[in-house]
Amino acid sequence: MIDEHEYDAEDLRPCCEGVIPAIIATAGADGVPNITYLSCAHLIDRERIALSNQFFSKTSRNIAENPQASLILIDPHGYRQFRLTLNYERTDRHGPAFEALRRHVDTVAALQGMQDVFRLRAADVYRILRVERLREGIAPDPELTGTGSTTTGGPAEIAELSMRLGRAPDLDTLVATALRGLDELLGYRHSILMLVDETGNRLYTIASHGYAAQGVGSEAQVGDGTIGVAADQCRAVNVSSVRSARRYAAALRKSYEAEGHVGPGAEIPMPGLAEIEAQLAVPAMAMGRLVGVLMVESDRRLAFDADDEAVLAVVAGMLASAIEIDVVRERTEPAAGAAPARAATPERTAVPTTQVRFFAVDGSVFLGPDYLIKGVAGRILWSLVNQYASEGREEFTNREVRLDPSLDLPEFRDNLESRLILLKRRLDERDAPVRIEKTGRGRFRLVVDTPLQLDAVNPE
Amino acid sequence: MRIGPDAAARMEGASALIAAGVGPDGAPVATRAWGAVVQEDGAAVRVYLEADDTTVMALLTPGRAIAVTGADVKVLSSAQAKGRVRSVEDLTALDVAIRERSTELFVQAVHETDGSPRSLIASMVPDRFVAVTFDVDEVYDQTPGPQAGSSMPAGSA
Repeated sequence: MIDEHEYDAEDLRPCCEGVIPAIIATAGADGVPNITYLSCAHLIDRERIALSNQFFSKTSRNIAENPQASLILIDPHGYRQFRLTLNYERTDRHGPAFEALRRHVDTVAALQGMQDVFRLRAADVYRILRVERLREGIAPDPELTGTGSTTTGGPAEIAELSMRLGRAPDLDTLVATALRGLDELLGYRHSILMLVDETGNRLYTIASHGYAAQGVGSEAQVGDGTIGVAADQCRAVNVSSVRSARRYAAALRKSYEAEGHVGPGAEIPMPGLAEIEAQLAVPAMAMGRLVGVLMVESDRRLAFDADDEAVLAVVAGMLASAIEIDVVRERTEPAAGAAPARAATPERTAVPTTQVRFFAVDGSVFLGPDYLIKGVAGRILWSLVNQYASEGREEFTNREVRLDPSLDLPEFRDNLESRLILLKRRLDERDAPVRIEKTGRGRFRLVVDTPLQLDAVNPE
Repeated sequence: MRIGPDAAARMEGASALIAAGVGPDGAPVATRAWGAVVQEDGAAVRVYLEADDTTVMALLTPGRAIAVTGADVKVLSSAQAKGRVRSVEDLTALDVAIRERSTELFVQAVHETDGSPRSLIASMVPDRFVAVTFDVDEVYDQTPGPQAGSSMPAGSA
């Protein structure tokens, strides 16, 4: 055992990343000890540490009687164990320490849909009187335990990505270039870009990179999961060990369910890797507005650190600005004139007919038996195939789609361009017999490979 | 007071164990424990602690207060038993076998749950142990959540 009178505060910071739960022991006036698991700890400086206080009824009573406490922390990198002798100083309900703990608690809650019940009550701040190193641990293997930083790029690589983004002629190319560049230039093999929808309450996946399935069109509620918290609070969310956080959240949820506070079975399915160990989500903001969230994932825990947050913040900012520029350009620059109607491709009797079913209740579209997409993108596709079937239209402009009253788009910020890209990518991903091909700025063509049978279910 | 089967399972299984004592000045001290056996039909618990952790061992003398929390590594369901130290002894051959099995279960459970290398987890295991037996006075559910700290039903383990 090593008594650390001159300990390095940096040794304790990894212990507070939420990978291995901290444990606090307190004692009441009766001299009986009490042991409690903590959801999170935050090292304020080398003399103070803040501990989350959610339930803590016995701990709080003990501390009121006797301010002394013993805290066990474990460094997840090398499994070094520390025992801290603490003395309670104060309880914070706002301020930097409270906010640091709240961010962690909110993320844990979001992993199990408990935002309404699992909230940080307070941050108890303790003075660190003594630090003992109980076990030395061993030198960590970066391949197994993470090195804390994933990015392989520096200013030159970020500049190169910026140049590539600057050359992207349209939004579709832009998002693909961004995620590919994150991999090729900066070392992020798995990434997802989600955009905020028209309501501001939901996010939808417009592009992903490095996954078996693209998941284009998958949605998340703002506030749910790592991505949802990043959107809700407009800040980076770094989950060092998704497995640990989910396990702790699951235990909490079971406890809440037993008390009747939450209903069962509302775990938020996260898009991405099957074996996720770490996630980092950063908001993409421009002109004070949240445009979307960029998230990277890793199969190594502790994969991301402040350097990764900084790099991704730059990339997310570039993306948000470019998307905003595209939106403004689409709205302000005149359309290139109405596209001429062209005769529909003659019906090919040799190929099977594709049934397109539309459910007005939620705008969902099925191609044959398979679900394709819903919402605004679904209504756009339904409108396009109807015009194709009734008028023989194949060429369209964004502007005329925007004015289509059946889509009921909001007048301000309709996200039409990103919805069209989402639709195009979703059709491509499914290798559908209906495709969208861009034919110029603000123009596209509907390409249909088979005869269509259009069926509206529960028409409005 | 007797530990019921639910609490006993959280002490004796593939559990993460923490023990704590209190000094004469009222200062609590926590330490990791490396196996526990519920004895005497739930009336007592024998727990294995690091012999070289002199800070906490100085506090755990017969008659002194002790608390032990056991948590199922995989689901974090936890129980806490509190009582008074009855004895502090060297390990018997049976103790050694139980302690080694408990440690192995713990290391394997953490390895399977967190994906941490076994060698890394095993680096936490001390070299020398003592067996501390205490009489159980109170048992609590310590699973993280709003029910943490609620009394667990007594019963026969």
